[in-house]
Amino acid sequence: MKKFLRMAYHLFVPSEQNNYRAKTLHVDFLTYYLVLALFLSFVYKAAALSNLGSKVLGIATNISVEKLFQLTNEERIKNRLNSLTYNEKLARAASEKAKDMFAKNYWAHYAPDQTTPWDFILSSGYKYEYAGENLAKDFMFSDGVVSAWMDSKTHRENILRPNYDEVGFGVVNGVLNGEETTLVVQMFGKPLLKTVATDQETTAVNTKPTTAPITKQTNLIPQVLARENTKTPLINVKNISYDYSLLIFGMLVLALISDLYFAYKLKIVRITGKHFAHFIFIGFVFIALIVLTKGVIL
Amino acid sequence: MIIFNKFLKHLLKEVQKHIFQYLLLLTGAIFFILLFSLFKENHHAQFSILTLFVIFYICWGLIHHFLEKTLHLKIVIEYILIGAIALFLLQTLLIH
Repeated sequence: MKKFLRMAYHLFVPSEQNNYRAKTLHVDFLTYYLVLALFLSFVYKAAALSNLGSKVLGIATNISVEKLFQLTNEERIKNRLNSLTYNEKLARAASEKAKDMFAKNYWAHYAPDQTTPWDFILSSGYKYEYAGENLAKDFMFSDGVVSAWMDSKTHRENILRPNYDEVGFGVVNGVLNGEETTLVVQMFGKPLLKTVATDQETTAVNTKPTTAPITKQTNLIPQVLARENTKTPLINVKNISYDYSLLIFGMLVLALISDLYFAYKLKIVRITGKHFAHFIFIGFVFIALIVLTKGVIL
Repeated sequence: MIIFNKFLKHLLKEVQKHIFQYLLLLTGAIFFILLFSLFKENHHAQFSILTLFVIFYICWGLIHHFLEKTLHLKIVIEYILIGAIALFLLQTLLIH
């Protein structure tokens, strides 16, 4: 314990042993952080290149169908609504929709060839009375997805619509517009009663998504890849990069605060970079890091 | 508690002494985060914005210390290293 304290003191408190500057702020220490960041960047690129099919090294988000399902139902229960049951057909439709977005390189409710979300639901064998769809991409965490939907009036209305009984999710990784991303498709439904099932197409109501479709067709790239995010790799480089970034920024801020405070307390006069400027810089880069975990919804 | 208050006053004094320069840095940082959020769907644009912010921060540091007559090689390296760490850490999450 004493050894650990001595080490922490050496790393964070300016003293004679560390030339009156917290060791974690020394140029050699900053170089170690940089080398590690470069190494991680290299590993990340290697993982992205050999990602498909790799069970050991890969890039995946922390978005899971179980968590999305749980959070959606929590929101409904909070609003005194019935909880939804998970439907495999809706899940298949959601996955097919996500794969279609990767294959045709679009990000919209309606495909460029005018395929509607309802086409995916119907082709999965699900006959509905009511149906709805929410989309999300680029998120890192499940709770970020659901809270972004809840913050948007139209998506919130979709989640809290009393007409729905069932839900299905598709979480698929792939390359969209040349960038590796994770698409989340949430499909709601209320099954059509068997007595009127034969006349399904004509009796279907609410066949429009609550969110207005925005077609954003961009250049088609020749190589389009998609895979379901059902198995996360053993070493998830994206998670490691994110955690490492948080750790480094946290450590730098801690070292800057401690160094500045003790230098003032011990009346140490020295010429160094401006701590306050470093705070502003690191603080805003930290905010950018948070922004990165939030994706976009449609 | 008294020493902490004195410490905060000391910090404030430093900021007041170079108020224009710190306001410039803060304005640049706010612009950075606004543009970064605006280009949420384009990671390549976000990376360019981040690169510009890092360059701006390094230049700010160099000019600030030059005006203060405290510009030394070690300080130049310090700003470059902190900027490069941020750049490469976020680059890993942006470009793939």
